[in-house]
Amino acid sequence: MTVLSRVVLALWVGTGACVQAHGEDLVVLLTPHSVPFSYADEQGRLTGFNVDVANAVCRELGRGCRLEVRPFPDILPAVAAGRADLGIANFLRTPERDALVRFSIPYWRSTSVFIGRADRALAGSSSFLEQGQVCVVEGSMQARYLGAHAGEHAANLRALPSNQGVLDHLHNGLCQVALLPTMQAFSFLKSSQGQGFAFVAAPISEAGLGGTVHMIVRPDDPDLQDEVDRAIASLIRSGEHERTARRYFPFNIF
Amino acid sequence: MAGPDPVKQPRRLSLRKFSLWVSLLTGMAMLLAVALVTLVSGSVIRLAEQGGEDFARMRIDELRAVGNIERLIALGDQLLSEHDASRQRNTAITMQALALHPSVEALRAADPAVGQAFDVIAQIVAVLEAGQAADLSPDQRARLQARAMTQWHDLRLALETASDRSAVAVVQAVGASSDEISRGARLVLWITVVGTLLAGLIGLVLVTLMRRQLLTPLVAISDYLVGLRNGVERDIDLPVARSEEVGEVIDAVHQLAAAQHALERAALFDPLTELLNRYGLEARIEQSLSHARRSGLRLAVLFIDLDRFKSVNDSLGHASGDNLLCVIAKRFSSCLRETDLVARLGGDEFVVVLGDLVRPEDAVPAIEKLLDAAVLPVRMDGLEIQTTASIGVCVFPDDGGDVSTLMKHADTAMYQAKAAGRANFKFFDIAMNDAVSRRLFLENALRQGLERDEFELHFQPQMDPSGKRVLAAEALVRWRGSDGRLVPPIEFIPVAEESELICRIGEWVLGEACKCLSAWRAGGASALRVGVNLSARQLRDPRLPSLVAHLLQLHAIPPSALELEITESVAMQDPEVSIRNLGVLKGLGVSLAIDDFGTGYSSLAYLKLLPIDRLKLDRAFVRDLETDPDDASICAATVGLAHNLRLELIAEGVETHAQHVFLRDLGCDLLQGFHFHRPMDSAALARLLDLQAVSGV
Repeated sequence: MTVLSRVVLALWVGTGACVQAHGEDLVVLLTPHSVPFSYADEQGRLTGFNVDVANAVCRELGRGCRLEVRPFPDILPAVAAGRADLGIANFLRTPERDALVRFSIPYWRSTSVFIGRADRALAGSSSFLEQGQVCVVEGSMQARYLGAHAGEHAANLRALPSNQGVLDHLHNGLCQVALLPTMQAFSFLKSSQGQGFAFVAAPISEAGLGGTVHMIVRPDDPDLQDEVDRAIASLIRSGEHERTARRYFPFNIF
Repeated sequence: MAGPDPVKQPRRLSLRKFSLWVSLLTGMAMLLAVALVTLVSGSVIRLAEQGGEDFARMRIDELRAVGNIERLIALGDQLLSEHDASRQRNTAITMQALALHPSVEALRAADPAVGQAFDVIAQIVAVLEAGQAADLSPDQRARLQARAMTQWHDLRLALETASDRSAVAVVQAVGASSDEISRGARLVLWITVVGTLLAGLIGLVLVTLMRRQLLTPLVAISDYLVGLRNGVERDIDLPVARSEEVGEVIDAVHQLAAAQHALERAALFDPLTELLNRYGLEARIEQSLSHARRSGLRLAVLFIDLDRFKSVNDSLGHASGDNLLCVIAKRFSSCLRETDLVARLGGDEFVVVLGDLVRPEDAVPAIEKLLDAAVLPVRMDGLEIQTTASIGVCVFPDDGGDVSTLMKHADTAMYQAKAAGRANFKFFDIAMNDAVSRRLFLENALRQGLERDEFELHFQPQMDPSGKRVLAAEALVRWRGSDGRLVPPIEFIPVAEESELICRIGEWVLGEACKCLSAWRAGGASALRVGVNLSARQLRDPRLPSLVAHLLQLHAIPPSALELEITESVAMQDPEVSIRNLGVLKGLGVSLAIDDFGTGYSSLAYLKLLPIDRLKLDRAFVRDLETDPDDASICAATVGLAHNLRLELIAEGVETHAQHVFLRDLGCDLLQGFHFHRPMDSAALARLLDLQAVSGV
């Protein structure tokens, strides 16, 4: 076999492999009840900002999207284990998470905030734990933060598997206060369920509770991370990202 | 030859090392330039790319912040003008969420008032909610409204300031970025321009160096070599070498030119006189002819022969002859212009070429100078030698268009000058050429005739006064050419006499005559005598006496039976020499006779000194003696003169009976002529002699 024919064969095999890889659907994990990021609409269809972004990324990559919902605490382990390609559930970047999965470039920025009954005076996080139950999403940065600051009142910290669970507890009075990402809290406050609730404390942006939000990528596929990064950059440059965000938020969240 | 003075040679550069260094330095300079431009361009590009990326990210953040703050201001204005509690709440929540966003939070460091926006909005909302309590009086409501307005006004001012500052920062950043990119571009431009100028300068220096070190010397060497080939290199200097390798070439060319000159001198010049030799002349005369053809002017070829040079060589030796040639050569050279040529072909033959003549006679002044130069005496070893020159002149293009024709015609003219009495010059004319051609043809045919044995000997009997008895016979040479025709002696004898051929023919005649005489004598004609004619050259030939002695001995002939005849003119040409040479022959015992007596200018004083036995009266006097009384008187006087000098007289050309009777009666001793016998071959004479013996006459 000549050198030329070897090269041609290698190119053909390589191209074929690429086509095969590109042909496979991307398995994307999202949270099930995170309004307005990923949630089921009245017809039961999965919708939300993260769902639209996931579909846009798949389109950029020229691949199909297989969207699956998981409780927030299950998503990172599933992606880290390679059972899914992407996790799009508003992940803040920490060194611990970095060791498990790959992070894409950011696609929006977040802060965290306490919400509670509107008649509650504005107070600090430690005083909320002293006064009653504080709900957080299990495995979230908010849960981790409060866990670190709870001290003797750790029993008052309630970690729930989903965002919706936290909000339900808050609504039912099972939690006096919840610590959530601002945009999720904002969405709740504007809903009918959120009437009578308000931001009850100054925002907390330190200690990893705020900052850039990323998608997580399976660790064994660096090429996929590059492709996802290029797709996000392309969406930002083309303005599609901005247009998608406008559908869900009254101001620029990036 | 022009060449570098070895003492003053400048320091030479090694082109090998030079080219190596030039290559190395050029390569390094190019690498350096490429590296520098790449480095600077790369850093500028990186700067631009990175700057562009950072710039875009930072600017878009700032723009988002500005947008969000402007949105916050609009929402605040809306909040204060809103009266519906539910809408107020929604607006306030949106404002608080917006105030919490990192894009707005990022401005907190620049303006602390912005950082308090979340709390201030909460306070305004609280005030507005308080103002909506049902139990408040209008004044209280108005105060609360005014308080809310004041709080909002302060926050709004802070937000506007932050927004404007961010917008200005964007504008300034854009300007700064443009400036930075411009600076980078200018830097690249400068480096490129300076690099290009530097490269151009280096190239110019290299070209100048190459031109100075290599190209200019090579062109000069090429010019020199072209000059060397054309023989004009003396006008061109070899360049001064500044590099070792070109120096080697120049030295080699120098040696080549020297060697060529040495070879040229050896091949083209006569070592004795340092004039051109035959080859040198041939080489240069072509150039002169080309010049004459181009200029349309005439050119004269002079063939010069020194008269009687051989006698100088013979009498004073070859060294003296060589000295004489050198002196004459110098004189000839000094008579001529630099553009004229002078050559020695060998012996005493010179050729001079005079150029740039308008008319043939323009050559005459130079020719006369040459004749004068030849005639001036030369002092040598205490002796004063005087010679003369004969010059043949031939003019191009009148007398010939090529070198060989011109040389041949000049030679012909020179022979004519010699024949005309020497010490003068003759211009060639075509008749002269025909005669010479005929002479040369005959000379060549004679030479071949001798080799092919084409000569015959005839004999004409000489009778006693009665005319009945053969006493002697004159040997007469006859030449039967290759075509079988008998060539008259009057045609070939003069040609033979001008060359050495007459000696060879004379030798043959002598030998043949002796052989015949010996045979006849053996056959019974014991008293018979045979006369043989000698030429002037033969008479001067020092070998003649020994040849005659040898033949007499070989054929056992008594010396007196052989008679050697010389003409009166030959005898009287140089009487003293004749007397001496004839004396030697007489010493052998042979008979001697003067032929054609009466036609020359005989000095009686010499005549009496010549050791001769007989006079032969010329046929001219015999022919008309019957009709011309003067001739009869001359005949009578000559007979008297001969007898008084105790010489016998032979009358030639007796053709009639009357002449016979008259001469017999005068007392002539012998008679020869057609009246008795025509010349006959040896067999016929043998038969005549036999008949005479039988008849007993």
